[in-house]
Amino acid sequence: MSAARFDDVVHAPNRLRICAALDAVQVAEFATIRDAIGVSDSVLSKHVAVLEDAGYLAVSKSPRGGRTYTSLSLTGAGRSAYHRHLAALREIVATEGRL
Amino acid sequence: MENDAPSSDEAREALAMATDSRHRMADALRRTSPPWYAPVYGLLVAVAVMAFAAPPGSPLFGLVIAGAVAGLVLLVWLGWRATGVWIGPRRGRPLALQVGVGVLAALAMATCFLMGRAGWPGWIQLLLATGTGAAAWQLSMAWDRAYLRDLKAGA
Repeated sequence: MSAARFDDVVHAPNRLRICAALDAVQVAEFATIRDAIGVSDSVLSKHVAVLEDAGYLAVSKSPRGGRTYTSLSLTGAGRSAYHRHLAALREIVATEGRL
Repeated sequence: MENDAPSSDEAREALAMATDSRHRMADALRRTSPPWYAPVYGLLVAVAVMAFAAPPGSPLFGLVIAGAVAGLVLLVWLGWRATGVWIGPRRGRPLALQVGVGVLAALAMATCFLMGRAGWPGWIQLLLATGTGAAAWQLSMAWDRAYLRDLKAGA
C-alpha cells in the first residue's frame, strides 16, 4: 500500500489519465496513449513534457520504416507518485464517508 | 509537491477519471490484440518441446531451440507493433499463469527427453509436444483475459 501524498503534477485531469494509462503497461507508443485518453497530439505533448520535467515519465524515440516512433513509460518515481496520489484521493473520499 | 486537498467530490471524480483511463486502455488492447498471437505462441512452445526428442548430441536440438527462441522474440516484437504497448511482468493471476506455462513446458521438455532416452516411439513425443502447445495457447489466452480483468478492476 503506497503512502498517501497529493501531487499537483499528477492531479491535472489529462496528466492523471496519462499516468493511469501508462501504469497499466511498461511502455506504450505515443499514439496508443493519445487514442486511449482521447486528446490531440499537441495536448498530449504538452502534458508529457510536464511529466518528463518532473522526472515522472521517460520518453524515447526510435526510427522504424522511415518514421520516428515515440514511446512513453512511467519512471519509478512517476509510478510511485501516481499510486501515492491515488491513495491520497481515496483517503479524502474515505474521510468524508466517516463524517 | 503539496497543495490544498480537493473536495471529496473532486477526489471521487479524479478516481473515476483514472478508472476510465484504465478501461479505455483495456478496450484499446482488446481491439488491437492480434488473434494469431496465442496460437503461434502455442506452436512455438510445441516446437521447443519437440526439440528435446532429438537424439543426444544431434545438431538438430540446437537449431530447433534457436529457431523457437528467435520465433518467440519475433512474436513478442510483432505483438508490440500490433498493440503499441509492452505490458511487461504483472502480479497476481497473470504472473501465476506465466509461471504455469513455464513449469508445464519444462516438465514436457524433461519428459520428452526421458522418453527419447528410453526409446519411446516418436509419435508419443509429438503427441506430448502438441498437447503442451495447445495448453500454452489456452494459457496465453487466459493470461490476456486475466490482465484485462485486472485492468478493468479499477485504479
